[in-house]
Amino acid sequence: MDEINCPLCGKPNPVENKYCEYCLGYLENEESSIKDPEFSDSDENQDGLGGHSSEVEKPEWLSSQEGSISSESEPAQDDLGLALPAADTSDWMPGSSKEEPSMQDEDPAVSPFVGGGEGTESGEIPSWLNDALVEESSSEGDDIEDTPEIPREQDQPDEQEKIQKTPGSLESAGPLAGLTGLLSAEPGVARIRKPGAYSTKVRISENQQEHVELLQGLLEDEGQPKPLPRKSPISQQHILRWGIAIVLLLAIFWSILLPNEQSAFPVYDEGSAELNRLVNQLPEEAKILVGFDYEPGLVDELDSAAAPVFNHLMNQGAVFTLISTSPNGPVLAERFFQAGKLEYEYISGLEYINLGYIPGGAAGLISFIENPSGTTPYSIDGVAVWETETGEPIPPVIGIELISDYEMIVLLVDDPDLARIWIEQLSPIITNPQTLTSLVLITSAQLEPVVRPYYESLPQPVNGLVVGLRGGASYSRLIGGDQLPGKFWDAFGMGTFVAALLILVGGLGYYVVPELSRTVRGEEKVD
Amino acid sequence: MGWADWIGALFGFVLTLLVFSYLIGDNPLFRITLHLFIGVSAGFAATVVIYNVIFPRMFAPLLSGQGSEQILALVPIILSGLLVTKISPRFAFLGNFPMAYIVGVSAAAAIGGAVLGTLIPQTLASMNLLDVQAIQAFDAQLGLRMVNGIIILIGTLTTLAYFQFSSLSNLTEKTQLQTWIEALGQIGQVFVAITFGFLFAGVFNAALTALIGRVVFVVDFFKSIIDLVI
Repeated sequence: MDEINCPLCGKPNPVENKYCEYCLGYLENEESSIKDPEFSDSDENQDGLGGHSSEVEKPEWLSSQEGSISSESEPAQDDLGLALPAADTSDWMPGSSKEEPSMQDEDPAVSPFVGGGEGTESGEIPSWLNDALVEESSSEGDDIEDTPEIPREQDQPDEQEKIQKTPGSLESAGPLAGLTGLLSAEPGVARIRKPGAYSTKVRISENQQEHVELLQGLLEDEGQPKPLPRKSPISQQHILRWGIAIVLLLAIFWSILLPNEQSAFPVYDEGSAELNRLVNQLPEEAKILVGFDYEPGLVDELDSAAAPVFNHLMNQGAVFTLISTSPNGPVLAERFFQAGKLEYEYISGLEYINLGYIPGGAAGLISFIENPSGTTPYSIDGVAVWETETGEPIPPVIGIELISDYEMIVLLVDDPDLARIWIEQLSPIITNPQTLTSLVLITSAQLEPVVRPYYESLPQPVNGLVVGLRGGASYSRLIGGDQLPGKFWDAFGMGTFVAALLILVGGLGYYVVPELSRTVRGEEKVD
Repeated sequence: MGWADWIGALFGFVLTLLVFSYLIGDNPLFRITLHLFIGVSAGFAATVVIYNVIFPRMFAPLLSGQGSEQILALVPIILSGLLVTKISPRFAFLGNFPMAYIVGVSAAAAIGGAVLGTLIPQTLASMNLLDVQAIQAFDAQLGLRMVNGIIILIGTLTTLAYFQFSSLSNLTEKTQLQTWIEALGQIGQVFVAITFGFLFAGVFNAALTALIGRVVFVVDFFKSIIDLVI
């Protein structure tokens, strides 16, 4: 069955009828109400609800409707402002009015009790309700006059649908076709309209179009490869870098290749002196725990700083337990003891034992501090350290059950976080007056700002501090040896002097040269 | 020196020169050395972990331990297995439990250590700077300690004033308090500059020592060759 859309409401409609049944009913109602002398001739208001109240004035929209319909030269206007052909209305209106009851004849949707004139007059409603409604309509007469007209016009479609969906009306479409007395659905939901056709072309001005093209051009340019501008192979930066490197290397090579009388070691360093005092107080065969936590890149600095201290400790007959919280630590520890940098050759398993690597960072360190034997049962060689076949531990750990059983803990470290973790976890033990264990640090020079506050504070979580090559040289002077630090000390002094000179010259050049050139330009302008 | 030492020394000498080639700019030789160093470090770390941690502490107790040790050894193995599932997006949720355990334990250890080992002791130490009895208990140099304490106190307060950025008033003119804080902040700026200078000097000293070590190594290598030839 072919369908067309109703020109008034847009609903699908059989092709035989130009308008849908809802609009037909509404138009019929409009025509009948205009033709009815009771409505048309009355000067009283007649809205949808109070149509029978003789005191109410007629609204303006209805007056205009009447005027437009009565004028044959102009097409009729519906309440939505759509043009209605007057000739068509006269053709189909009679036929349809016979089949469908008009609003005046049967208008319960507007008000089942007051809408239809006949119904009201016939006394189908109780008299008390009729009186109440008459009073209500008469009392609201003045208010209705003042009511804006636009809302009433907007309410017209709802009223129209209510009229068409009155009990007794016949449903002509949908699954409920053929049934009467159906309640209408929500108007907004039930009304099906064909979506309007919209243009997909963007309405933009010429100026906007230019901007679009500009942006498009920019994006396309970004996707195309462009040759990089040719850089000079030798820039000022290169020359500056090479100059500094050459000056520094020349100074170092000169100090190493042409050794003159060796410079004196630093006279006194408080941290080194304190460590020297602690080592001198150690008993015979003291148990020392040594933490190797530095990277291979700083091995020369740490070796130079630690060698005098370990020579002193070995001279005192100390035995060592080596441990590390970094994977590189165990092999660096073995290298330190086996590379011939120390005055004494210690034997692994007898005078020192390497317990290897503790995983887990701070948590692993806590575990080792609380339970050394349980955390590291084996050495790096796979030997059971704490319980040999004879049932005794190996010599370096005899008598060690707690971390506080060590006389001294020596930490070689270059990383501020690792140093902090060690100090923080050992601090409660070291600062406890009941324990005699001391913690000493041998660190890289770059770590001094981090660890010195721990050494300076009271009470001391760090009891001794040797910092870098200078600390090692100072300690070496205290014990009367000059092996490893002496190899570097002259070059270190010369390199430091040249670096300070370069910084001074560079600073002067950076600040003074622009000032001088500015002054010269000023004098030239004056001349 | 044996052959192994000679090969090692030669290899070290070549790598040292390759690293020094960075002076002429970033180049493939330097990058090769860099990649070689990273690869060797990673491989060495993996070897240490396998031989020093995984096998002796996880599998050895399971294979040769007694009943309770074997049961206890299952715990880290299971947790490690769950952690391995993190590589699969589908089963990654299984690794949440061991990950939560690791993060929780690490955070607890770090926070506990920081509070009890650094925050409270350093705060107390700052308070004790001008405590005459405490100074005398540890050190006889009372005068120097007092001067040191005063300098540290001034440095601490002025540095804190330097990092005071909040506005104390909506008025256009500065209040007297703001003027004072700004003046203290100027002094604190000097302390901050000295601190950065100290840090730079430390880093430079460490780098210079490393450079000297390499130069000494090169010189020793050539001396060994000359001694061998002669």
